[in-house]
Amino acid sequence: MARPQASWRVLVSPLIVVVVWELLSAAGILRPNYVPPPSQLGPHLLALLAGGELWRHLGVTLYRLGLSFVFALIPAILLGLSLGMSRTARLALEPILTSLYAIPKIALLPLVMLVLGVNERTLIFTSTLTSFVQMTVSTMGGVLAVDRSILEAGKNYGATGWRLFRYVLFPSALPDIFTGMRIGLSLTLVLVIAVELTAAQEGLGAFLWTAGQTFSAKNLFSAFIVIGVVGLTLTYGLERIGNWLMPWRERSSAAMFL
Amino acid sequence: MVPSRVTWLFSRELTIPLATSLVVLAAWEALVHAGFLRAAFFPPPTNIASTLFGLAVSGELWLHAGTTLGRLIVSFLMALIPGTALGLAMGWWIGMRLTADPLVRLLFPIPSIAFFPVVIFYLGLSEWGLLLTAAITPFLLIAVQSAAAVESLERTLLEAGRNYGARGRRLFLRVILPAALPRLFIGYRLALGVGFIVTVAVEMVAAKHGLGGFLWHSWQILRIEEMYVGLMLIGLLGILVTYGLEALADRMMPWQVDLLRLKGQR
Repeated sequence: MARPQASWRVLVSPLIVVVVWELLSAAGILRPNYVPPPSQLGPHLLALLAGGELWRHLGVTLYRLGLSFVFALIPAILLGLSLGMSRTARLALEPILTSLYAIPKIALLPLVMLVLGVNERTLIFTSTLTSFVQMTVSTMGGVLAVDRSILEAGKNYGATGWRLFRYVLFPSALPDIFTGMRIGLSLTLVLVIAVELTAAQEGLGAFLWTAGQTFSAKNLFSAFIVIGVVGLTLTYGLERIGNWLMPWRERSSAAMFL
Repeated sequence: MVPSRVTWLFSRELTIPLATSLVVLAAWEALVHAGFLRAAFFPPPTNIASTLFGLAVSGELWLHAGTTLGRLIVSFLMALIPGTALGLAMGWWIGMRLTADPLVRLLFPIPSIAFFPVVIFYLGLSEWGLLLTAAITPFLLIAVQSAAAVESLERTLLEAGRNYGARGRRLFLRVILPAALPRLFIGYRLALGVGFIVTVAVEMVAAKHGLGGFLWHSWQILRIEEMYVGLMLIGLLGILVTYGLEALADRMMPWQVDLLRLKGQR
């Protein structure tokens, strides 16, 4: 069932949480050293942003995320389309793709570090692989899910070869390709943060980890909020862009959470 | 249409993937022996197999695999029970949806691993910290999918149930739950996958035991064969998690397989 578009009502319960949080702190039930109240957290976050340090970490994380996405995009879409259209290629690459898809890509990190060394290249390579595998699988799935009757209709109207691909197959598969990009980016963000937690000096994950280890609750919450905003922007922002770019695609609120 | 067993053995669905796997493994083995691949980085598959055998005999393998599997199961249950309850409530009562839905949607897109430093800030580097971290995002995912499962129920089904006199508990157990089950299972499958990623990641960051910890440790002391064994087992568990639940769902709900295929959700 379609639900009505989000309205001011979605803000009510988060606001209540913030107010209760603040009141509990004021009443002395939550200690500010452990759970800083929103009234202290806000200014602290702003100060961190004004100081430029948090921006630098955010920049590093976004740079890693963006670079791996760009590297993976074209090869993944090309491979995904070919695998979707050729049954032999699909069967031949199935064992490799299946294992790569099922394995958490962070588990490949030690292997990549062994071969490439402990450096930026390793991180970028592992994140690129994460995006690549997800986008390939989604693109392939998108081609396979194209309705046979649409293809038949296209053929009956005389579309063959390139025209069939360009005007029938590709637009039908595009929503899935786009979803693959979004999920790929989300998974890559998880990977980048995970790697940064332990193996990096810079980036939001490193900042978050240091804050936790030095018992700086305010830094911890600030970093967490910034990471959360990045995640929210990726999920909901891209979904909006997708709806705007592809008005023909089916909208489903639950599909956003795949 | 079910092809017979013998036909299946020689079908392209089996022979081509098998051939690729064998070719890759044989090429790997040959290239190492010919000196083109460095054995320090890519030990030959036969060496990895004998290391795997040794670890299996000594029992170390089962300890780590069992630990990871145990963590995965416990954290999954920690997500499944409250997640389903919250999701069903969100789908059924408008008040619950207005209260909880915005919070769930706010928290869900946060990268799951980012919860880890926050959780251990309060719980310390404990087993519960690991389990809770691995349960958070699956919990949110299950809640969203369960709510969607109830919302997408066909009204006619409910009406028919009511007309036949099903109310309250009976309506829920006999009509709502069976109809919502396929969508619930989609949520469970996705949640298990996410939970597995987070479990392995957290183990690599912070645990001594478990496959993630084993993998990280064997890298640090440069026992490369053991590293490959760890990687292999994580892959196997991943395949089990990714495709096993799907097979289970097909077996439990045979009436839904064709329907889902028809809707293109497979």
